[in-house]
Amino acid sequence: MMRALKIAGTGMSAQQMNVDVLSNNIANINTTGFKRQRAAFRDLIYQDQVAAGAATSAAGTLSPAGVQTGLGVNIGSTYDIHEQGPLQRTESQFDLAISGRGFFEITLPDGTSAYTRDGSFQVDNTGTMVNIDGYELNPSIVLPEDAVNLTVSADGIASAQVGDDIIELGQIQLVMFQNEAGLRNIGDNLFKATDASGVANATNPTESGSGSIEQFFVEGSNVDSIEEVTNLITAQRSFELNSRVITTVDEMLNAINQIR
Amino acid sequence: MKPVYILTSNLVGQRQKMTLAADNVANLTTPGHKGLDIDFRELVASKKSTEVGSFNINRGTRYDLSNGAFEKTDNPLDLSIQGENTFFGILVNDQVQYTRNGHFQLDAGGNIVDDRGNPLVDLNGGAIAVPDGTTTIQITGDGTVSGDDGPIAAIGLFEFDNPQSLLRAGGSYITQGEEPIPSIEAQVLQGFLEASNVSPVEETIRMTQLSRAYQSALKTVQGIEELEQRAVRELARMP
Repeated sequence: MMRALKIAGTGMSAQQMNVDVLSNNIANINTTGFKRQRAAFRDLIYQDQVAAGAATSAAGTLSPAGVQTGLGVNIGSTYDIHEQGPLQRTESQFDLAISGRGFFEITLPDGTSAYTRDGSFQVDNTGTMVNIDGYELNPSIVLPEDAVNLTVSADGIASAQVGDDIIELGQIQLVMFQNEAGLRNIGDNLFKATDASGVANATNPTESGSGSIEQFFVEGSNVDSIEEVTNLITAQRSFELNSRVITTVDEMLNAINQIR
Repeated sequence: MKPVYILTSNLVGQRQKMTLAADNVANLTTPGHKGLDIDFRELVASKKSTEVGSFNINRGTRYDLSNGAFEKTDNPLDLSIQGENTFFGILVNDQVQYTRNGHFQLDAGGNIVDDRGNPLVDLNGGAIAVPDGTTTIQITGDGTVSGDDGPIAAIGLFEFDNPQSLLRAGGSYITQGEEPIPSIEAQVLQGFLEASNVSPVEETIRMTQLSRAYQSALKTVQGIEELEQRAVRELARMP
């Protein structure tokens, strides 16, 4: 009986964590380049009371099914769904969106690399393209002082107009990972590579399976409000049903206590 | 035989059922989870005709193998199987285990793995590796995995003669009780995840019934006790 109480407890805490994940998605419904997360549920271990195939008679008949009781549920992992978010038109020439697979590489202040789908760039006081926190895009693109009209082609070639001439500023590259879901979230729309994601492969946009670059667009969050709300309802009702198990067990225990 | 013992066997049985109901409810949102039920059998305790009554004992837990609802996720590596009693094979510690939980992803080496990093296997028990730089992974109904340059491998789908003999190992894995047979009829659905087949309505009804049956059995125990007490009292008063 106490087992049933604990099992319902595992169900409630798993749903609670599920709601945590869902609420983070909803909070980031307007975050540029955000990828929604999901909690993956798995059942816990099982207790064998009678093994299937145990002898049921001296004549050698075997029990066709055993007696197994499960011990509840836990969350195996939380994973990001790297589905394309909607592209939103903007008026800034430094806004770049990736249509397809791939990430921009950002150099963090400590010299290491992080990866992002958030392409709302700006220029700093030296004319270098930086992200919203002032971290440099890698390979870096530096705009001359008198440059106007930055143009980025779909395959990532950045050029600008200086006086009457169009000069090429450099090649913006995209980084590909074998397993995007294995990237680690470090906040500020940035991801870090891990052993699970595989090594970062830099490539020119539209080559080796990577997406193209769309200037004057940013990628919106891929959180779908309807999906999140239906998941939230499911989580809430499952939580309630688990608490109902606890109430039922409590009633049964109470019945025992009522006997003299 | 004392009726109290018969009732005790009933009480123990109800308690086991409650544990199963709790586990089913806890796994209400576990993908591919199959609910468990319990079978009781009558055990005649005495062959003497003057004594009536029989115990109930737990004979076995039984899977509800029916399909859960297929939920659209649009994740190309979320797979579900149409067809009961058919499972994916997963290589866990060099041994193939089985699951209906079809949430997969790629690992750093390009293998199709589950969320614990254990590879999904083809019919021969080998991992399925997707070539580097593949943009779209297409999986057809018969389980053929295709990348940009054509078919790569076929996902193994396995059936069992007696699925009730399969043992659950936890973590959504089922260990083999007998030799699996390659499934021919089952179909793979790409972009869908099979939900748990636990029915909240059924579990609620079951729990209510259990609770009431438990209480009435306890009430009967109490009645028997009162009866005995009264018998002792009245007998003592007899001259």
